Amino acid sequence: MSLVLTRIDNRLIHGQVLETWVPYVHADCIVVANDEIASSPLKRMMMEASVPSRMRVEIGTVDEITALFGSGSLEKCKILLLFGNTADALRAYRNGLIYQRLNLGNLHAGAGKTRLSCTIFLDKEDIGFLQELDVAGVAITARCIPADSERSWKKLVPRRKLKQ
Amino acid sequence: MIGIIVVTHAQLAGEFINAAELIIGPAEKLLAVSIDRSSALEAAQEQLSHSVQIVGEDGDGVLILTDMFGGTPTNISAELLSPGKVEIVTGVNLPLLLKAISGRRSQALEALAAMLKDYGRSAVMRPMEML
Repeated sequence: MSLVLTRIDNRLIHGQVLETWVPYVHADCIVVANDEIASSPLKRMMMEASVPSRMRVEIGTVDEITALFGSGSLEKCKILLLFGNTADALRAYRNGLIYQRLNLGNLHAGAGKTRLSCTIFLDKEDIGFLQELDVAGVAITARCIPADSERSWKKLVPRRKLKQ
Repeated sequence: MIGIIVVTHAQLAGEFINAAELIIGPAEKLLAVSIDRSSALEAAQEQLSHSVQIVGEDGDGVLILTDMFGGTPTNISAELLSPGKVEIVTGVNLPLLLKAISGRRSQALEALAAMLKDYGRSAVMRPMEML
């Protein structure tokens, strides 16, 4: 199994992912780990239908996808893995879904979130979660589409907001 | 009368409406919703729901035209799908939009959406093949 991109994107499967990231990383399988989509038949069907038929799609809850990675059934795949938020990315990692790199794509505005770039808004909790992944050795970078330059997430976060 | 909302990435939606109105003149119950790079999903959803309320006030139903299946404009619109009340047709083009505006007085929402799906496809031409 090769994990060609692990990304946090609150839009999950959408235009930017399908049109730019899939060809850029040569993924042949898209995996979505998101409890909400997994439990909504309509959203799930729409996302599955939007993926080109030559690709494999797996959509499940964070726990289901963590188990799927552990099962070995994705062995031959070049996987593009999507999480909807920082909490899910950390939960999967803690439960054994290990990734070396994490791409921050779209993490949009919400109550209490501070704007760090045009597409990344984080609150204190997000920063704490990412910091835990960072300490565990995950290389976290911000890059919305391949045409953007890649920046370390820490360069976006004001130093006073990071726990020392 | 069936209300129409065009939902797209960036400013396409508003410009589709500008282009349509340039051809046929001002149209009523026709709104644009744009999803920009920095749009929060919740804010875009709220704007879309509000637009559906405005153009759907008379209860004749609302047709949402989006730019691309699989894109965020379509994904957020899908949450509003409701039989007989809200329909979506993806892959909007100018002939399709013009047909939607002219056809919405004479047919019910479901029939209009089904007709537009075929019409929009038939409006893509390759002139070289006609030579």
